[in-house]
Amino acid sequence: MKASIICTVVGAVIVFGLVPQAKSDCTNPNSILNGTYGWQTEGLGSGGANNPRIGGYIPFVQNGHHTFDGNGTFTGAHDTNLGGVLIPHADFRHL
Amino acid sequence: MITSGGQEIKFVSASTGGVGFGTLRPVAAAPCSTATLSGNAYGYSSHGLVGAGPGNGYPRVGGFIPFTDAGQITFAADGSVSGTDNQNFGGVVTPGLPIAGTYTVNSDCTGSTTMTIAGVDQSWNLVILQGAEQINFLATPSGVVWGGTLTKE
Repeated sequence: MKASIICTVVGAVIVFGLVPQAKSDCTNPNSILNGTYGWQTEGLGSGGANNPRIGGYIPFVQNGHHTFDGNGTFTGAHDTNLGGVLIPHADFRHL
Repeated sequence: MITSGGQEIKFVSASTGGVGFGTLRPVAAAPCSTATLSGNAYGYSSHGLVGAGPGNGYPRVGGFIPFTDAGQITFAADGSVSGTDNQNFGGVVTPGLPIAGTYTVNSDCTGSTTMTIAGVDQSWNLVILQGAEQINFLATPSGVVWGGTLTKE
């Protein structure tokens, strides 16, 4: 169980580009991420020329799902609300 | 960061030029249908921003009026939703706002609601999570930045 958790941490680091805080002995840490996850994120972005802003930032919320294949690839789709403007159903694929 | 015995992954965005954070949780087992939510009641608390027009008198953060909500929503077998929303809009508290509308569920466990809250049009896109214990929602009307999570009662 502990090894699985460590593997998952490394997998999340790969997906989201975070700085690793733990190392794994797993031969294929990607195998831990195998399945479909729903996710939501909120924050402040810097893009968008005409969106309303808070200071220099545009607030956003995203809602979506990822399907991980256990081999380092994931696909999914998400909706983005960028400063009150909906950007619906953006499909993505990461190889 | 792994939490809840591996059932949640917390993350922070690594994209340059912006800041963001969030949570991944396992999605409900497909195929989903209306029956996945039928008869379930959910509670929620959330926060958001409204990019309102000029002259409404509310204090603002940038171009937005902040708000918070807490409430309860029930998904009925006939495809309807009902509930109550308690709102703090820019510092003005309004409890007991009625929620009424309809919902749909797709086989991939996404869905949507079309409803009114105190007579004001509102709609959410949904992602149903494991066991339908939680539902992530994103508000879709123009001018509103709002998302949150419904938790099964």
